[in-house]
Amino acid sequence: MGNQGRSQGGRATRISYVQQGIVTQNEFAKLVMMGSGGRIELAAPLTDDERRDFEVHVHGRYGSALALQVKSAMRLARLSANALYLRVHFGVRASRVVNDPVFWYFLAYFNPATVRFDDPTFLVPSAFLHEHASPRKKGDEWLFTFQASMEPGSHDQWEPYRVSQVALGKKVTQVINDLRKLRASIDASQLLEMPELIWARTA
Amino acid sequence: MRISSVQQGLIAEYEFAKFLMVGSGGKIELARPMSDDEARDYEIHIRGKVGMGFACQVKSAMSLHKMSKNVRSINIFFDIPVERLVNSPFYWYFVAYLDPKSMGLADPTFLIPSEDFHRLAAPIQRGGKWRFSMAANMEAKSRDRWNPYRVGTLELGARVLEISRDLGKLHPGAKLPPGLLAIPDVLVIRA
Repeated sequence: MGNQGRSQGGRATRISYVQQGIVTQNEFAKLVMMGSGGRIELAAPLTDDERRDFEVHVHGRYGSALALQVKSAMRLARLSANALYLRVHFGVRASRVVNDPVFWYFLAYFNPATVRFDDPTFLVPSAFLHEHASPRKKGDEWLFTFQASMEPGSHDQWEPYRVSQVALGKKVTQVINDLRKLRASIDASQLLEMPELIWARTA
Repeated sequence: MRISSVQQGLIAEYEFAKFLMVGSGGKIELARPMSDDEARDYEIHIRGKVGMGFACQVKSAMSLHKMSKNVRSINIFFDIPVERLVNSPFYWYFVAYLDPKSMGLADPTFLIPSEDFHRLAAPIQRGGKWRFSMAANMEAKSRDRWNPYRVGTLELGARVLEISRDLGKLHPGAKLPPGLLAIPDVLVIRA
């Protein structure tokens, strides 16, 4: 259940990794539910074998769910005098790395002083994260280090994936809608590959 | 579109759990009963002190009522079947306003022993049910009947630790078996 990066300890606040995992997953669920006006439904798999913390779908629309993994840190890294970074380090067994358009990561800094996330948070497609989060293979494991600037004016590689907490519900809805369209266009293109299919159009 | 009452209930419970866990520095453990037959949302205990916990029921509102120009109150109404009413020092209510704008609990929140709540929340018995209505002033300077039960969200962890310690003294497990002191040469040492 622990969704924190290994080096992003709960040491300063003394809550355990398991508690941190639960608290941040619930916080994410709250923001998505409230931010979507209740349209988004979240389901937690009974087992975490596929590294999904949530299956997310728009209320009433089955068959177009998004899978999400929540990662958090409870402190920020200072990389220069004025730049605070969210750094999340985690490992994934090579056989369990999922690069799929429906699998996304949510990454955020949980501020122990305010007992909520700080803006910005990050919603990143799995394939992009696996490619850009300094991937390193060690034995049968891939190690990733996500390191994103928290500064408002930043233009780092993670900037396109920034989401404010109040916008998170709408952003997740948009991602699900985009994936639905993508799936529909893929389905249509597969039609053309079917043998003996006659394509008729009105004149 | 508004979130459903089920979503609201779940979010308020998550928020309560979050403030207890983080606010107690991880000392507080919460467990959800597999069924809600006894109207308990959480069983709460201090880590390592199993069997010395108390139960809590979370109640929330997503709007405030204007009592006058500058005074807002949180209003909570609910019914309980007479046979399911629990009056126990080990059963508490947590009442809070879930602010849709900030998407979180607003200050103050209220932690109230069930016996006090049932006495103060205008109880009316109708048919086979008790109806309770709580209207608590949310303004900082309020001195209404709910004032002693106010707790800031960031103080919830410390307050629940304090409650748990106080209840630990009342807990049946904390009492000495009768007759123990009558045994010669027995020395009881308490921290």
